[in-house]
Amino acid sequence: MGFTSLQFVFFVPIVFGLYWTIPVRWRNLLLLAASYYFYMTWNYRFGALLFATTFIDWMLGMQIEKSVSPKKKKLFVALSLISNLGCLAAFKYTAFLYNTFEWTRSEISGMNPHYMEALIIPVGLSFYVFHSLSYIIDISRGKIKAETNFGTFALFVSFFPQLVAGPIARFGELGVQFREEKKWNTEQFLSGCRLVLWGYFKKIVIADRLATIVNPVFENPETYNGLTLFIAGIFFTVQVYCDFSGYSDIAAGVARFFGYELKLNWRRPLLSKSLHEFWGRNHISMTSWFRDYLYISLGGSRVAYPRWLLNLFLVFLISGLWHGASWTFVVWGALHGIVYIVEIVLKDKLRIPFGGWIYLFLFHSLALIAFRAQSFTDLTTIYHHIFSFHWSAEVSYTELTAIADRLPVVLSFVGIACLFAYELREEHRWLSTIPKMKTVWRPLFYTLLFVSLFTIGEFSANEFIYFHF
Amino acid sequence: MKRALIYALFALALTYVIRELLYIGIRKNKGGEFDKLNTAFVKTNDYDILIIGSSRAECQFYPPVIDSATGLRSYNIGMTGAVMPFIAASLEAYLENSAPPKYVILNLDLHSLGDATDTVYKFPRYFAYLDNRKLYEGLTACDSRFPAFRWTSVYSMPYFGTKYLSNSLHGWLGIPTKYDTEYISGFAPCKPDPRMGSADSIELIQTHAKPSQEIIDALENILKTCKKHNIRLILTVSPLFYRQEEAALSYSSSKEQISGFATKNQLTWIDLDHDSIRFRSEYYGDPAHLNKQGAINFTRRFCSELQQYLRD
Repeated sequence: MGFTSLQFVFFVPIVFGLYWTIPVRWRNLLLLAASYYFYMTWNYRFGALLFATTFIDWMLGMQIEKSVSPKKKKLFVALSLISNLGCLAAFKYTAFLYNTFEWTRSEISGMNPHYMEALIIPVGLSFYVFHSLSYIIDISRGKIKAETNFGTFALFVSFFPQLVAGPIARFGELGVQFREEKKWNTEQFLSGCRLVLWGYFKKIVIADRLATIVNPVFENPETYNGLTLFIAGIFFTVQVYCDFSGYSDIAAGVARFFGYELKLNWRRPLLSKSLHEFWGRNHISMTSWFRDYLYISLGGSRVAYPRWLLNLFLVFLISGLWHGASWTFVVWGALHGIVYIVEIVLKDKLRIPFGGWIYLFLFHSLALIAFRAQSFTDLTTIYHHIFSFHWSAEVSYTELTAIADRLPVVLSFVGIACLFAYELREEHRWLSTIPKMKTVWRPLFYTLLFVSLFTIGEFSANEFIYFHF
Repeated sequence: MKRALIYALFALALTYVIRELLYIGIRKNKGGEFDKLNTAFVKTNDYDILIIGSSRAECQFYPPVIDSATGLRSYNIGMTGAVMPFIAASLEAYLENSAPPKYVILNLDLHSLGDATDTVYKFPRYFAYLDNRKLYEGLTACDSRFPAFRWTSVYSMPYFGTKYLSNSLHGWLGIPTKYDTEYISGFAPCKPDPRMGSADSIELIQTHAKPSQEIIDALENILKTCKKHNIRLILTVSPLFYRQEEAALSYSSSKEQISGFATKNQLTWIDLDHDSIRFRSEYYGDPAHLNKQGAINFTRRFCSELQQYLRD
């Protein structure tokens, strides 16, 4: 049951209606049941995995808190790491590691490789594993108390709006909210509605529309001109942002329907002027997770200068692998790591003639091609076509109009323009002081947003990209 | 909260208004696919010969050839992907607004005989025509979602897509689409898809054509409608490319069943399935459809047979 599915349109109002009518003491149980139902609609077996990892972490959390000996604490943390990362490795990285080994073996021995098929990854595994790990590490660091109520902890891990694609929640922020009695708040509900609408607009009107152009290009990159691939890369940058931030907005909006606040996950990253700024705005919950639990564990910046740079590079490399078990994701992580370090090394010496925004946007788009390429071979083909600069506007126009008619292309550009107009308004607080903003203009804007969803939205399938992570 | 509710209702109402505007735009098209649907389901016509069937009817019967050979006026309302119950409904829907033709030519083929009867291919294209009672009933019988499509704007609009939005805009602006000229009196050519390869080389999937009771019932309905309006029903089978026919299981027994149906009801039965054109890949857009030149050649061949029966 994806957020764009018809079942979800019925599921949320039913859970919402029940939540606010049943006695308070049953609400968490209802949300827990709804969350498991939501998750098991993908594959009921995955529900068992979710339950098992949750139960293990809940038990270990309590053991960590009870333990006086640091050795024991470390042992329980290690057990949790093994259980969570073991699951992640088994489902996500087995085929990747095996195939890499096979490829290497075949290169050395000259024998034919026998590749294995990738396993089906339980939806959202990377996200809920990170929820649980942050909980365990926070307890071991004494930041939070272990949750004694299994239901509350299970709800924290499985809360359906953020279960499959984040934001990656911390128990100290979200988990504690499940202990409170929620009171109806009209303003919170309406702000949730606005977030949901804007999220759907980004997903259905912008991201999925762009996908209709981006997907055919990246499925057969060798047949396209360098300029077409470059344009598809730019489109993909906007698509992936709208897809994922759209999801986050819907998740945060739906959580507000029940009185919960999810962590801010995006702060207009496409308006950044440097990679440092970008990573302060982009996928904030993931970035802060890697900072708090990996970067700091590696020693952070309190180490020798070269080691610090190496730490940064490793974090980017691992975050690339977290996104997907493929060398293309490693390339993406490495590119970001290298440029991030270059920005540190050059600091004030770096003066980009046409402004930081263009530099960041171009770099981000070109790096993101590695994120989208279907294989390493495809990636090298794409980069070769782009950087050979045999670009032809005429060929590119022919190629693009063969993929889609003029209207979808025009709508894609309109969608991108709407996105930037909205984000620039948010960034600079434009129009916020005009009279009747809250009473007339804002409701009218959201009315138009609603109507445009149904008029120019692209509803032909397309799951959220991050569901696969 | 009250104001929010008012805006929500306003937004919902607006979707109905916009949907209606989209439908009007669709119906304003003066060429192409929607002009054909306008002819079939909205306009008042007085054609002498009406061709019905699925995509093989649509892209294999070329009305200008029929017109010149017979001296009558013909129109092709064959619809891509139409299954037999829907073909029956489309004939009734045509008769809602138009005078009964003298002849109805029903092209029977592998797909209209063997396909599932509970699907409507490219169903959003019919949304603008649900005011046609018979069409609406026929579509609802095939796909139970149609009442929801008709009465719920936010349910139907997501299926509409850019293609139809574009067609609506073309209709409103009075600009023909690039595909409009391909349609001639309801005929639409099958164009080869270079990615699929030629009819000689394309990989074929085995299909199973065995008329279910529902298909036989639909045939009976077509016959009943024709009798009611004093229309002479002509059954025909156009040739599949020989490789396609080989891949079709129980095709000959199905044809026998249909020919039995024709004999039992004393219907004209023109079986051109074994016409030599079926070995000529250059006349096929794909193994299941003749291309435009193939259609013209085949229609000439069909007319030479048809003329004998028209003289009777």
